[in-house]
Amino acid sequence: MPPGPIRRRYLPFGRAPLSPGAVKPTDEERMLAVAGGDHEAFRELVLAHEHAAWSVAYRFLRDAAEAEDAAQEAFLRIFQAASRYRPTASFRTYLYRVVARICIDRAEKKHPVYTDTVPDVADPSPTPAEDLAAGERTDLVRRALDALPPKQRMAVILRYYEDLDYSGISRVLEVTVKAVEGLLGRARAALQVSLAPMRD
Amino acid sequence: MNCRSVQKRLSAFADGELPGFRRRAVASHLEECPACRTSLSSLHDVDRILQEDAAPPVPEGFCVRVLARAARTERAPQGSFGWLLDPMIDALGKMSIPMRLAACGTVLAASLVGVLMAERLLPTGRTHAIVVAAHQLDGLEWFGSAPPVSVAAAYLAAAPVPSRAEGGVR
Repeated sequence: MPPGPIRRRYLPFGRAPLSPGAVKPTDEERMLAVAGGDHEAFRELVLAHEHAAWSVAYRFLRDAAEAEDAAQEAFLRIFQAASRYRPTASFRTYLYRVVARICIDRAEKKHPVYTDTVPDVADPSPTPAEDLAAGERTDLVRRALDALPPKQRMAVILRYYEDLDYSGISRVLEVTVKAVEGLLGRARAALQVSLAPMRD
Repeated sequence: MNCRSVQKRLSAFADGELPGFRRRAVASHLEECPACRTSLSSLHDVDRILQEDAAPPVPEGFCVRVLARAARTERAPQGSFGWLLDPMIDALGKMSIPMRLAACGTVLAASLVGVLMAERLLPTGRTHAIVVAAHQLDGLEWFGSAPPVSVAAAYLAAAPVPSRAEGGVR
């Protein structure tokens, strides 16, 4: 078998070198290297996960400039907190958690949601189904998602677009699995109504 | 299981997240209940519609900008103007390109107005000579040519005259 490409092995301070066979550092090892001041490890983390951070932020905020800022802020917070990082969950879950927190905070600051007044079902759009062009369909989906309360919206994004299971979503949103079931149930009930014009 | 409890669990059922015994109960209810089957089919429609919505690709240079911000935070502003400049740079970074251009234009225009106003206000020619003369005077010198019988002359007589070394009347 031909030798594979030589890959860097991060050796953060205080850690013993790993066996020569194991070559590719995990994200968690990269984080520990970042804590030791390794900028290259941070660059690799950003490159490996920029799409996940960006797509969650973009789908949630629906504004490219704001989404980029939120995703950047998430990586920056991770960079600054690297010395306190403990690999208790996967790095991806940790990243989602930071992005979700930033996005939900921004949404709540922009449009405060008072739980007593949140409607269970979003207002249905009056757009007729017959002549929905592709752009209008996208717009309708966006409006339907935007009408959801922030936590429900984030749960839908994590479930549909990031393919997280309920347990993963519960770790990201720091709620119970039962609460995730409730969030997704209410969100889907609202979406069934608001997306009704698009259903054949 | 009745329709109400099935409807409550339909979302988790569609996601395959119900534990075995609940899933079987919901499935057997669905076999008998056309209304709940319609609800499930409508949930699948929502799934399909949502999955059609694609996100745009990551903006070009995203990683570089993240690394630049990280490097800026590392160069902690100790005794520099970083505490003032960093928030301004960050605010600029959050703006769209037209807004950035507008902000830069405003700063340039303000600087230009400042320069023009300074030119007009700076003492030049005769004004400059008067200002320099005024700076050279020392308080009492204004009364130097007071008539002998006047309040100013009485004041000058009463006041101690500072010596030349003290920068007094020349």
